[in-house]
Amino acid sequence: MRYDAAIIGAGADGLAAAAMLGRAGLRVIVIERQVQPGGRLITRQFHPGYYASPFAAAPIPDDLFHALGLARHGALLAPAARPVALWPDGRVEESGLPAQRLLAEADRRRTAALACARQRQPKPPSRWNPFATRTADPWPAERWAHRALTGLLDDAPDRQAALFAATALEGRAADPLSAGSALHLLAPAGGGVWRGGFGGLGSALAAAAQATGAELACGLEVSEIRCQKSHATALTLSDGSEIAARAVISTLDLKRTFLSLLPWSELPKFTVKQIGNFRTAGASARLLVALGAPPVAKNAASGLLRRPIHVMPDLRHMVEAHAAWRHGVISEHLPLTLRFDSSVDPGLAPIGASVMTATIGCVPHTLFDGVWSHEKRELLCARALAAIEQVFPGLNGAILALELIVPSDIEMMLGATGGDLDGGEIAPDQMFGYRPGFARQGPYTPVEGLYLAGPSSVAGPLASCAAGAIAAQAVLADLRAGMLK
Amino acid sequence: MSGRYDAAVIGGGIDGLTAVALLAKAGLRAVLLEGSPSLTGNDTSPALRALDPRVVKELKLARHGLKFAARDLELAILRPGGQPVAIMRDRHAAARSLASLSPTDATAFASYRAEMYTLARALRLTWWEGRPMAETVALLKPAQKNLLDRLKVTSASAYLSSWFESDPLKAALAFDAAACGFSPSEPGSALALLWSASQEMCGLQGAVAIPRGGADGLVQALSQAAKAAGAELRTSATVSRLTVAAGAVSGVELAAGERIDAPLVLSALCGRRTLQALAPTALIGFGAAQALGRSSAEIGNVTLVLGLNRRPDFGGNRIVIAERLEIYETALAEARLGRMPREPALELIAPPPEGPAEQLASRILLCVRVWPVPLGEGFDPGALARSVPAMIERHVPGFAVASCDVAQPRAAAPSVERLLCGADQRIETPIRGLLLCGGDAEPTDALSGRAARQAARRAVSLHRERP
Repeated sequence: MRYDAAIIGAGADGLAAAAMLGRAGLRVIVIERQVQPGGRLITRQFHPGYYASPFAAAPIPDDLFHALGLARHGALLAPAARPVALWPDGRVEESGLPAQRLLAEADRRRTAALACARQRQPKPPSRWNPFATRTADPWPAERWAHRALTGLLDDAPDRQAALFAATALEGRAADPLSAGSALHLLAPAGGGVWRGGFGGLGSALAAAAQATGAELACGLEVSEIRCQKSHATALTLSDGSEIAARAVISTLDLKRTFLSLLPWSELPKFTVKQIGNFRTAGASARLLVALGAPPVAKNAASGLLRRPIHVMPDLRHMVEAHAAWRHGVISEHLPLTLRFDSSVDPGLAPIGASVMTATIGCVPHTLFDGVWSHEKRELLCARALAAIEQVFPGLNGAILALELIVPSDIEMMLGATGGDLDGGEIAPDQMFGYRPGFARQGPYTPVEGLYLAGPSSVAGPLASCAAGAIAAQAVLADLRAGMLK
Repeated sequence: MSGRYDAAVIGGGIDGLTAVALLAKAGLRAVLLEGSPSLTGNDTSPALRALDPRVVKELKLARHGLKFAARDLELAILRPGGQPVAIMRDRHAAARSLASLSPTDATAFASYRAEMYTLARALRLTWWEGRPMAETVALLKPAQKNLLDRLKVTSASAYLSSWFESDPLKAALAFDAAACGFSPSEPGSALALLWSASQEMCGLQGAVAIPRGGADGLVQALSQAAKAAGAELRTSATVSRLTVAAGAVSGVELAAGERIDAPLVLSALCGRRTLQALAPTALIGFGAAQALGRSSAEIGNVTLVLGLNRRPDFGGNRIVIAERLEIYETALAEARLGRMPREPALELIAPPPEGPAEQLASRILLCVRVWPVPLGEGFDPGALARSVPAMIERHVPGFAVASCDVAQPRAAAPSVERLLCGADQRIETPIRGLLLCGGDAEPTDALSGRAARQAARRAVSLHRERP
């Protein structure tokens, strides 16, 4: 049996693509390695009665949310609350007007970039000239590509600048003082709280995809993308069976797709080198904590727990933490962001209890002296909890259970190279037109019939689902033009 | 006492001298006003990597005593406990020596240099002639245009990593970006590599040369040329402010109270100092004045002059000590936090044995450029004098220092925009008749005299337009 499109990975992008292609009447199959769909959009019960989402995801563009009919399938979003910074003396810092203006400006730029990425559908080439080079127009220059985060917020008091930088760099590793760090504002992490955690969104997406007739095959692992005459024709599964398809959409990251699933002989030498040079920067760790009671900060305002809380952000510590990350060392001052999702969605924890997710930035994928051993994990946990204890005295006593996820776990669980949820370092030479950097921009790859949708594609770090929608559009256009046999 | 001139140049050094000499040569009555008793300027490094060959030719500097002690200092890479690796100009020789680092890099190096040098030559239209970048780009081939677009957003580290695999080679080549004031991990710093490749010394592209007598030798030749052209050079004449009439510059006032009338003023000081300290705020505009106050560099580089009793075997005359690309980032982070970096990147310039340095001091001198250092109170010359010889000693066993002089650190605030704009945008100021001709008007912080030449040409044409 031959499918019109086979999609690798049932994450946000894969399910969005499946829904769009299914609605167009195509025969679509989504292949997922885990037993349940969702990819990073999952919520786990990590302690009896306590639910938490182990990974973060970017927000979904409004138009896609409506186009996919996610509300009908049960997705419900509590909009994002503005982040605050908290210090041990109980002082709470809210972002001031200049910072809010900049964040709004970042949203506008992100929307503009997404719109630009969606329009970037090169005309299908005429069939009689398959050798014509198809290069897209240059991407409009982004002024923030050469700005530092602190440079955007001139004259701000230190605490304001630190909160602003912490908001932009949540769960990442970058030096907020060096040029180019401003781009992190365009790739937001977090967003609002979904009912039932990210898993609620994931199951809504899966339901939306299945409602259009797309087939969801979970628990199957793709081991190879089969090519004939540099045209993707089929997927080989790890059990040896084969799924033939006219088009293949990969929602894995660039390196995983090309260096481990495709035979290298199918690719030009310089393309292999180029893909090898694509840098990843896995730096995000998560601490899921089950608390017997919600914590109390010193003289803190009400409603504090409903907002993302940055723990004692400090620019100097961020610079130090970034340097430590570069050298594969666990930093003394970890950038920490706390979220108490159960105070927004009480269903995530038993009555009267609370669940906390701590996002830790600047955590290396591999340490300079080896892999993440048990002692190293303990050390990271202890450092993070000590910092949290400073702002929420007595919190450590209420801990019932905790689970730590370091970048190498993310690599194991999601298959993200280097544990990088962004699919590649956020740097000007790896964003926009240079992401993933092939001669043809957009979802197209050097292999005909293979489309890249995951985090390493243009829209990957900008928004969830958008990359899948763009790849689906490209597949539909190419099918109509008769490019896919 | 007062004087009337066609043009006044504030600040000595190579830039000021070049400007005043070219103005005088064009027939203007020009005066140079230098605050300190000597004309040397504040750069003590003897190595020249960007001197404009047309300045040398137009001012006939060779006739005025400019000679080179070394024309092409080849780069050598020092590793602790290993043989030094020299990168020769001849590509076969370079490949032979690089093969000891990595055979792949040895073959890649020739293509890397070819790609850089070809594009760099095409960009001389902007970087040498000062034409706007759009004009230059229009003349490029599509592939070159793509490469330039990519380099604008690529860091030197990423670009070098895409070519080479050997850490010492990447780190040594990245020093070119640091020498221009860029951090090699900053996006756009690959352009600084390109800018360095577009320079020419003694007719050799990308060469580093040492004039006889060091920086003084060049200053001597320039002041000879300026005097011969009829310019007046005044030292110990500190300018206290600019005088302005009807929105345009009318002259300068010296600290001693003397007034000098000149409808054109060229400043070799940095733009911030010129506009903030010398010019009236009302003319610049309040917003612009505030913006000037904000832009302050925190990072710079510094030159150490080490006296040695014995010349150790470095394996080359220009040595970069930087083991990996990461050390640039670590050192920068430390400097940003206001500490002296424990392991900065070093460039050693060892004048060749027949150089005049020894005749002057009967000792061997070694110039060490250190990047990065914090400016302000974090700068500690004593710590530098201890740590730098110790760092060199780790790479060159038996290295001993007889004396150590630490110069003033030089601020570096380069920007990609400045590299990509035409000369007009760099030399013009908001005040009519006031032009910048110093390091601030150059695409990068390296000394070239090119901004001075462009400012002088602009001043001459302004002078001719006057009724």
